[in-house]
Amino acid sequence: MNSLWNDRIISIVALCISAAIFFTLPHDIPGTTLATFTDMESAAFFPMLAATVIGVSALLLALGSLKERSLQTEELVDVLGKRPALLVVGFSLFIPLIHWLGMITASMTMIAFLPLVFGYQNYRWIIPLAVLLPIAVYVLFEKVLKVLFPHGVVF
Amino acid sequence: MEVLGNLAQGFELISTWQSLTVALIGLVAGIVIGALPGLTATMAVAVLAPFTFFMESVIGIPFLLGIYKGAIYGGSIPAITINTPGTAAAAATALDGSVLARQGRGRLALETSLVASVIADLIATFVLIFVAAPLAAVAIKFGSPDFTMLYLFALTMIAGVSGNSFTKGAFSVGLGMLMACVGLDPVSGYQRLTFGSVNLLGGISLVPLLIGMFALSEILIQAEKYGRRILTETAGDDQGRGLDLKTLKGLLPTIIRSSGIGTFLGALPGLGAEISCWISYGIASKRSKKPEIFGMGSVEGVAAAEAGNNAVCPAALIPMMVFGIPGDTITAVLLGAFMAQGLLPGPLLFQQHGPILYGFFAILLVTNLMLLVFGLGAIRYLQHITRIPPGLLYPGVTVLCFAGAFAVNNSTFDWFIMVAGGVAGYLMRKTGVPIPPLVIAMLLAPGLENNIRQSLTLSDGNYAIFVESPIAAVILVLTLTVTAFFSWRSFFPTRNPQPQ
Repeated sequence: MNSLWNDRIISIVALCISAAIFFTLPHDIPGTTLATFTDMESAAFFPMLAATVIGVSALLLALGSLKERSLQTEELVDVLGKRPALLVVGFSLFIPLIHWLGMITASMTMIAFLPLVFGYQNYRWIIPLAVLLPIAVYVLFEKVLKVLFPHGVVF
Repeated sequence: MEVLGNLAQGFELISTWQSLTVALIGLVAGIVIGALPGLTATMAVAVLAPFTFFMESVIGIPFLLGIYKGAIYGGSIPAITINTPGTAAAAATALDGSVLARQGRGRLALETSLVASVIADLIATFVLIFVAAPLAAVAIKFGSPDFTMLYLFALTMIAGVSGNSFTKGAFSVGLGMLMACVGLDPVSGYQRLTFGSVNLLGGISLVPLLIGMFALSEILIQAEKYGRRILTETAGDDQGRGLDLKTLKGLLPTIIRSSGIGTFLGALPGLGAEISCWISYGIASKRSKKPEIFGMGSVEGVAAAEAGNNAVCPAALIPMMVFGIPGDTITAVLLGAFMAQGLLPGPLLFQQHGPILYGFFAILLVTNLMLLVFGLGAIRYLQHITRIPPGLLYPGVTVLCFAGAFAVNNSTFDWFIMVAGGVAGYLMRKTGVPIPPLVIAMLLAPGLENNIRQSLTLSDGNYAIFVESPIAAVILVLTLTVTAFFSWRSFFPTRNPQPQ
């Protein structure tokens, strides 16, 4: 699955993260400069160390991908597939849906539609699952474990 | 003898119907989850861990230990019956197990897998019982410079052995260290990387992140695979005769050898069941009188792989309990559960909570017996679990993930952490950046930072303190050696392909 292009993209992302940490730390911790890196007792030392580990590994990864350039075919892996992308959108919509409909009703809706992403359409099984599982979760969490889920306009 | 006395006390502590029932429920749940292709042992422990936060430690932790043990064993069921390992640790089992099943000897493979798992687990549990406490007595003499070096060694090992690239492992370690910094600095009280969010003042909530990285990311991966799923060859219903005593006697040397390998590898940080099963399988094929049938239906192959991966479970608890260093991702999640129960792993754990720990050791032995009895009785029915369609399974798991993530802190913000963790975990897996180093680094980073600061306070800022102690110096040399080795391997890889 890995390709040189992916390694380069990871390197760039990692370098950006590393640079962003060095840029934002002085705002969080007053008095932080590059010299703080030698002061292990400072609050900024450990984030700087982490950012350095990320930055150095990014550089080594970039060097490694340049070295291997002639040995492998360059191919960009399809990083986010269609179905996973659809699921991520679904998960993201599920959170406001819980606030609006309430945890139990939103879960029923979620279970009713999510099987379609997996290409499963047998509603003889989907409907009982969509009804029974959220009720079981409600009983277990709210009644037994006393965890109060968000309730919405329906329940 | 003192150990046996403590163990007897441990048995007394867990001899309540609540502890035993919950451990059995965990074991059965673990077997079922492990038997479902696509649901991993780590995912099982991560998703179900929040339930234990509402229980006493002598009830909650046995539940998780039962899940852990059950899921690792359960992974062998689909590996044998439908040639699809339920967990990565069962990949080697599929090589011979599935062939045996197609030859009409599936019951022999399933029972061999069960008995090998139980024997290996038993051996490794006794090693845990007899080694952990003396090791903790030694570890208690470790100073902060020694712990600093030990944490660095563990992080280097984990970066090196996870995935195929040391640099990607190191990147993952760096990310984990960075994520551990989010929140208030424990010494100065400065906000670090909170970006002004009050929700991040207490740091990134660990369990929702773990649920996202291990469970949601798996759902995303499975959703992608679903479109191009290839039908696997399934075994018929006629599963033939089971394991007899004569065959078991012939397998014992292989099982004991593989148990030793699994125990040793499990006790090292980063080397989990996924690696142990392949090494045990490889050594068994070299030592076998019939190496030519490995891969073509060898019962010895099934026994070696299963003994190798199951011995890891108790052994991985040794570094976790003694040093607070998780041996693999599952013990990383367990470490989080221990901490949530107020049991802070490390050398003092045996002094402060000795009886409870021996209770956990006792439950490991009891669940072994439960696994044997339950497994032998239910083995023929368990294989039907593998037929549950993913389209029903994953929506159900998704709802449990959301419920579990919320239950940890009663916070809706944790859902965002979980979803972000899921997307990050998915992208990391797609691009070959290993997740275990990130999780383990996130757990070890606070300890590493505290020990660095304590060391420098003790030495008035003199860095020489990190090499003055003989223990720290030895560990530093070890760390530099493995760093050099992993760097060399990363830049000059061998041409021999490794089993995936």
